[in-house]
Amino acid sequence: MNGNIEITGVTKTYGKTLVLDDVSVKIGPGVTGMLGPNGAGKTTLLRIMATVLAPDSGSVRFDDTTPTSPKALHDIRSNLGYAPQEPGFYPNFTVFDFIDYVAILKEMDDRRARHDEVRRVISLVGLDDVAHRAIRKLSGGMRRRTAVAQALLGSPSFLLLDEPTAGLDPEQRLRFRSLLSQRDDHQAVVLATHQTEDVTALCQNVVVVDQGKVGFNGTPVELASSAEGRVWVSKGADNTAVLTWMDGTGRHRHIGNPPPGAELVEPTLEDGYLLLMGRDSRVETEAVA
Amino acid sequence: MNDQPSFEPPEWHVSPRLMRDYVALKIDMARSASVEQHLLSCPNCQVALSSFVYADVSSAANLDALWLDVIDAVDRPSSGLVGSTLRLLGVSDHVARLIAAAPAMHLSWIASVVLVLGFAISYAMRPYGSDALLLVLAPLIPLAGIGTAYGLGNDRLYELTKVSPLSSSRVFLYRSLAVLCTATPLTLTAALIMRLDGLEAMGWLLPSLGLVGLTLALSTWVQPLIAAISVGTTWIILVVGVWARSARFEGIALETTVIFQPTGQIAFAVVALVAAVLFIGRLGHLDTPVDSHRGAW
Repeated sequence: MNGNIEITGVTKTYGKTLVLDDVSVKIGPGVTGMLGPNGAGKTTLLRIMATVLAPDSGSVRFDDTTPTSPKALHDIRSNLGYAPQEPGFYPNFTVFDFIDYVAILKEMDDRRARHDEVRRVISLVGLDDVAHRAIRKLSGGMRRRTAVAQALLGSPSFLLLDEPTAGLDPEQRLRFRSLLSQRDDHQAVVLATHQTEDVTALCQNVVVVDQGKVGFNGTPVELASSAEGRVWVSKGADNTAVLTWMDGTGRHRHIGNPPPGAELVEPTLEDGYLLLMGRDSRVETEAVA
Repeated sequence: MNDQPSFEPPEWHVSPRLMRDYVALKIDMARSASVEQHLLSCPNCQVALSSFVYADVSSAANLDALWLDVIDAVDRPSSGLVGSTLRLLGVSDHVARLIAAAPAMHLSWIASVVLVLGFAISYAMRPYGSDALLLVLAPLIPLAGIGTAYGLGNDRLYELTKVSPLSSSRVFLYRSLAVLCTATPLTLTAALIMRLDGLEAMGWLLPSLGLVGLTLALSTWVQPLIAAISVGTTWIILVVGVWARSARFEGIALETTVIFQPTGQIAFAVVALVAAVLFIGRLGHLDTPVDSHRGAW
């Protein structure tokens, strides 16, 4: 498979709540970040792409295949790696047991070859030392890496990861980025996240989802450029800006119109994302810029 | 005088015959430990040993294969009592693991079945007890197992199973069969302990198969747990209803009601057959993405 995913007019409701509203996106090979606040519809869209959920209307096409027949579903699922946000583990399983079990689900019936593949993905996520430790005894970050490891089994053409870096410390996050940078050229990786740093560091494309709609689809540079001429820093706060917060240097960063005495700076992807979200509430934090 | 022990090579060496027996694991543990202790400090015997090992293994490639076997044996997941038993019965390794992972296959499941049957037996053994409890409970036991064998909320790996190329219907079917294979012999044993014979001893079997068939068929529309609860509740209402009706006109013994007589048994056999056909016809629905509005799961 060539790693192309085409989502056309996907709509999904839960009861009376509209979660996805006529979403259409084309995703190609490479790493695509799906950015959006909590509850934006990222996980639902990812679950539809993973063939867990059926959309109310619209379709998802993987290269030339749509999951409409049992054979097509089987073909797609054979080329799909999916790490849900909360994968769920059998409590007594070790890391090796769990990944080996998922490998069985992926129809790797030859025990020796399967165990070799399990060892390979465990090594890729750096869990060799705890491979035979019960998952319930692992830290949140290690469990997250275990979830990612099972998705890597068989080097799938489509890799769908829901919040894969949540709970990882900086070193683990770096390792994860290094891991994704070693991917196959034809592999499509979709990364649902609300962390702009991951998108900046990893993604060739970014799709911003907000309130069930696609607000942006382009490159990270294009998203950052959308805030060109709108990002300022000054010593004082500005109540009229779309967003304003104090950065790690003690200066205030503003997105919107320039406050008196402010200095225009190069926008980052985060600036573009925040501007796109169009929040009119002001944020006062001591977050590191 | 120097009290420090000397580390000179030992004066004796392992004889070729002893070495051969050691490599072939033909000597007792005490002599084996003695040889190993000697090998640690004797370079001459270490060289001699390598020639014996290579003679046995024949090539370095075989040594690599041997090493991989060791790693594989160390890594091989523990399959527990259920998995090991299934493998002993000739079930393939991967199928045994799929079945053994099911919540319904844990020891707690078997313990619960034994407890329920034990309760039915003790009720029957009382001075004015009867077999009624076994006849009512026996068909419900596999429903409890199947209802918790797979599905959203029951199986922690439900979502990963759903997106895997291995058919969810296969996983569900394997586990349902495993539930039947544990519940049926245990219930049969209970019937034997209660010294039931003839139609009375097997009166629960066809209703049980009918209810299992209905649960499986219904599971292609709703979650197995909901299907099992619905079918189980219907069974209790049916039994109590028929029993109450016959108590007014014929007598009070449950086993004498139409359900456990040939007519009822044939009816349940037909139900089991129709449900099986329906289930096979709708198997594919277990693999399709979840449609939260149309009720498919």
